[in-house]
Amino acid sequence: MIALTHLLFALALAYLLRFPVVYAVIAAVLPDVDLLFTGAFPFAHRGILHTPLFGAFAMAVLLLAVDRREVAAAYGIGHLSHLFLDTFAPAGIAWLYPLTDAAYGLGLAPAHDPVLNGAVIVLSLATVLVWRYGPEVWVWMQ
Amino acid sequence: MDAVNRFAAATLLMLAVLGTGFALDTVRNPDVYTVSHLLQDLPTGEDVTVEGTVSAVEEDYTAESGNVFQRFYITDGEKEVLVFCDTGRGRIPVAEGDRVTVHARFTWFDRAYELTTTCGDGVTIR
Repeated sequence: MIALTHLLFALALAYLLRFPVVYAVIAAVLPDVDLLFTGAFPFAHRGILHTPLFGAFAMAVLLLAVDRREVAAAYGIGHLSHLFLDTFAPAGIAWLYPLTDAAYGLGLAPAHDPVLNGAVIVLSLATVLVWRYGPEVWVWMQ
Repeated sequence: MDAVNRFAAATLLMLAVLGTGFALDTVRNPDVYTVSHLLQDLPTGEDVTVEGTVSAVEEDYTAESGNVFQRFYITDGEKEVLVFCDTGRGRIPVAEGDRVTVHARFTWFDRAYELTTTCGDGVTIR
């Protein structure tokens, strides 16, 4: 999925679950930094930065650094939301790394599919708006 | 109660996103694919029918079990995909330029896409 989709989906989840949104959003876009990697797996796109292992590692570092569980939890939510969405693509995610390098994907749509990205963006924004302002937001929007 | 409602809302959002993905995949799956459409839709794990022209014939692959597989690429002029077929039910005499219809499972294997089938049943030269 594109960065905006990851960002808004993580924002919606963190907002709903009352975790610090900014950390969830950072965690949601950080894994795609590996687009800059040029090596072989796991130092490639959809490599180690796209694993639950890295998420757990990052959460542990945050917990040691700031000693606030909600910050670490927000990071975990953002990171897992990224992996969740990337599992929709055929390339999948190496969910079980380092036990295995195998990637598991649902093969529903390519990562840059505009329809799916648009749908996730709309669902995420709509969820936040309806939760914040209630169903009346639909009347207001019309 | 508020926490339960929030958790339920988050779960519903995830299910809605997942459902949208599956719905799109169902709507888009045509009866016969071109190679480009196949590589756009990426129906991984599904049985598909693809029409194309043979663009390259590779050397046979012999597995440790002794099974021999034919390997060739098919194209629609824009994209190409590997066909990997078991010769257990007979070989298929494909050559470059042949127009073929392939009934196969579209898979993601060893970090590449391929169409996996049996040569005799799954590949027809038109």
